[in-house]
Amino acid sequence: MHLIRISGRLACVLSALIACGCALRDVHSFAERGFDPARFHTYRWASADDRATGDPRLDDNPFFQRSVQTSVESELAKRGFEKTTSETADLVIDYYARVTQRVERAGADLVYRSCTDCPPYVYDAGSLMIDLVEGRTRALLWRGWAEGDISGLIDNQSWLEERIGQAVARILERLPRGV
Amino acid sequence: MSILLRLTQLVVVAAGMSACATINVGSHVERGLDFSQYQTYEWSPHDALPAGDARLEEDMVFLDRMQGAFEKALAARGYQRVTFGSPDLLVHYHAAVSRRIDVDRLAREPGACPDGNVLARNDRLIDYERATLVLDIVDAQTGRLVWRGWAREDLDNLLDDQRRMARDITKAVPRMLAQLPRGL
Repeated sequence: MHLIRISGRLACVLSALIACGCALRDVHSFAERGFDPARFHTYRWASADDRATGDPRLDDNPFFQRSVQTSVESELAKRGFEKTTSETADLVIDYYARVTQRVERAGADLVYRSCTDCPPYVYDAGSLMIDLVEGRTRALLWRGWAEGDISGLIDNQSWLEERIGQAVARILERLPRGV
Repeated sequence: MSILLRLTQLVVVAAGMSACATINVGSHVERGLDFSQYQTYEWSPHDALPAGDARLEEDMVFLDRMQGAFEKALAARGYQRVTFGSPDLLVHYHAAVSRRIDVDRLAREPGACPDGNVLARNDRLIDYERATLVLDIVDAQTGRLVWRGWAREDLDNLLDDQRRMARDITKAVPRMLAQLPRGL
């Protein structure tokens, strides 16, 4: 019994250390009621006025910014949207990235057993938010975002780019079809 | 059983220690760029990043040691500083400090509480400061960033300990610049 308890505790500790999924797992979106993507065909990027992320490694980082923009453009192209630099684009796309710290209780997501003595742990939480704004009225039509544990992710450029691509794809999956 | 217990202790202590004893380095690079076209550099005052921490950016001892370490490491990577003419690259750095939190893991080593529920009773959040030193290397012709490297370390009285500061800079900067593609 004691062995099982210790093994469980070890599993909790190890899971806290290595199960930092390091991905933007939670994906959500809001849409303006009646938003019909079929009415919109072209988009342009918003000017990058404020891209502060809360992490000096990502602030004003063109490699990170390009990775996000390339991923978004690829996903929007799949959905039939056309990129333009014209001020009269149907949609204006903007994005925001933020890095903060969060405290979680390890084992809180266990399904089949409780973990009353699992240690809490601190991780770097990242969020990536994509806004679709109507070009003419500047009204927010759709917002999608992903958030999750990104501990260790920023230090590895290839890994970061891969995760950004996955996150953007999952965010924009929630965009209503219709184009 | 004792092996499991010892392993658990080891992992917990290692996790706790790792939060305060390591210098993390990383970098991002312009992919596909031929760095052999670059041979020379000069320091640049330009800095598009948010304002850094005055304790670091106005500490002349820190700046002098850091700049010296950078120049030595850049030379080792094949880049020569030029103080006249047109350098191939412009280099600037940024030192930021951010507040961080962690769980005081050392307080919850197994055995600290006899009822076994040590974590719920002894865990406490601690806050500390982490310094991030960012080095940006820009193509002088195009003005485009071609490489960014960084080193991160818990501040933990670093500014009051000149010996430790010198040791850590000497350790961190070459590790950071080892990720920079070589010049000629």
